[in-house]
Amino acid sequence: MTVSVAFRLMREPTFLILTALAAEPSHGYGVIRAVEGLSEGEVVLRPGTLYGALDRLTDEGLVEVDREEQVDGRLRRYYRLTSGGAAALAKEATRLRRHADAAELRLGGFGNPAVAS
Amino acid sequence: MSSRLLWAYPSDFRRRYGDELLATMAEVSGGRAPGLAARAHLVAAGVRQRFRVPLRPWAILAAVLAMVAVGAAGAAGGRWLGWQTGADVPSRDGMRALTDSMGVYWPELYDQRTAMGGPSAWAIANGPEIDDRARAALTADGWRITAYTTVSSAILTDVSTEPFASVPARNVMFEAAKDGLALRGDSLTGAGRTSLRVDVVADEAWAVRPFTVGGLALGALVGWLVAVALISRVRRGDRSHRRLAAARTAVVFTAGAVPVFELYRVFVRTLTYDSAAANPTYVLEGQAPAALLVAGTSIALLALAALVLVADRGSRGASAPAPSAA
Repeated sequence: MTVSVAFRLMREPTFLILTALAAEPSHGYGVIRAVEGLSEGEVVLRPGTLYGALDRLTDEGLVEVDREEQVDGRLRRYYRLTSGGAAALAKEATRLRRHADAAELRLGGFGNPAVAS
Repeated sequence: MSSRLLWAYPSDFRRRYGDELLATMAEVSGGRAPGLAARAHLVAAGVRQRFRVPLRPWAILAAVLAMVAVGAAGAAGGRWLGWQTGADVPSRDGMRALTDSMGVYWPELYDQRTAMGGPSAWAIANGPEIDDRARAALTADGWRITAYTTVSSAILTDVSTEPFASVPARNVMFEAAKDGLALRGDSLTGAGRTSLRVDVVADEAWAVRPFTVGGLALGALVGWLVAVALISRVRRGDRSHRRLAAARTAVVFTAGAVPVFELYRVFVRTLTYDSAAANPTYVLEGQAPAALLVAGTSIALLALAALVLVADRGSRGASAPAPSAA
């Protein structure tokens, strides 16, 4: 039961990493910058967090290695979303959208407090 | 950027991601050396990685069982270490000298452990009828006598008559203390003979209970970390390695079940032992057969060694994540 709950509730960094890889394969630094951009600076991944997440996502079959390159003598490994990763991301996006829609619907009587504040 | 920054990570993780993690760090910091916060975060992430187990039922079960098993061994180790802070009971020569000084020679000597694991020495001796010398002998040996009772009694010499035939006898019971040791003894003198029993038990050492509990916690932590490291290696291997590893893991836990259960009984006995009771408690029955404990422990350790070997070989075949065919 714990396992299925853990898979179902995707944490925000995981959601953003998968989103960053949805458009095209990317290397570690590219993912960090993409996540920062997607979250408008709210989520800044550190390398330690990113590679812990990439290890777990690879293990769960949501992400896989696309290719490797050497740039200025440094290893760049590109990661891409698997079909399973795309499905998990789509499911999570739907879930979040449903929650967001529900919240906005119930906030109708308040105008738009996010804009007002 | 130095790979020494990654010391907190498990070696398997360093092998797989070390180079690209350092390259990414260099890009994030613009080529400058990482600051204190970045280094601290890297250590925290490395430690977290050591505790992370894949969210798979078999992996979680194996890690929990390893935690339970190694925790039991840790508790036993902690208990042993705790008793090292306590007093030593007299050696066999010391016990022999004590009974000799009471006027009864050639004792049978026994070394035992109390139910809490404390050392204990016994001497049982028989000799000719003599005057009671226990008080003088104990005082001369530096013991502080805490109880000394002499009772007139009788020794039956013929039970075929009515009433039974008997001769007067003297029963002496004594207790004494010295340097963290407690001595109890009694003697029965009459009908031309004296029988004497003396046992010495170490007082409970202050460290026994905390060390036992600490050993359990430390063992559980080590068990979890070792399990995570092995699981991490095993899951990198191919299917045949994983099956072999699963079979050996099953042998480890099956063979180790009885010894681990026995260790937990020892753990409970240790923590529930009443050191203030009038007499020490020994474990006389209800233990698993020694042969089963030795065989179970040996098989479990051999299977564990075999598991480590197969996990190591399996992970060597897949040292880094490889690009997949699109």
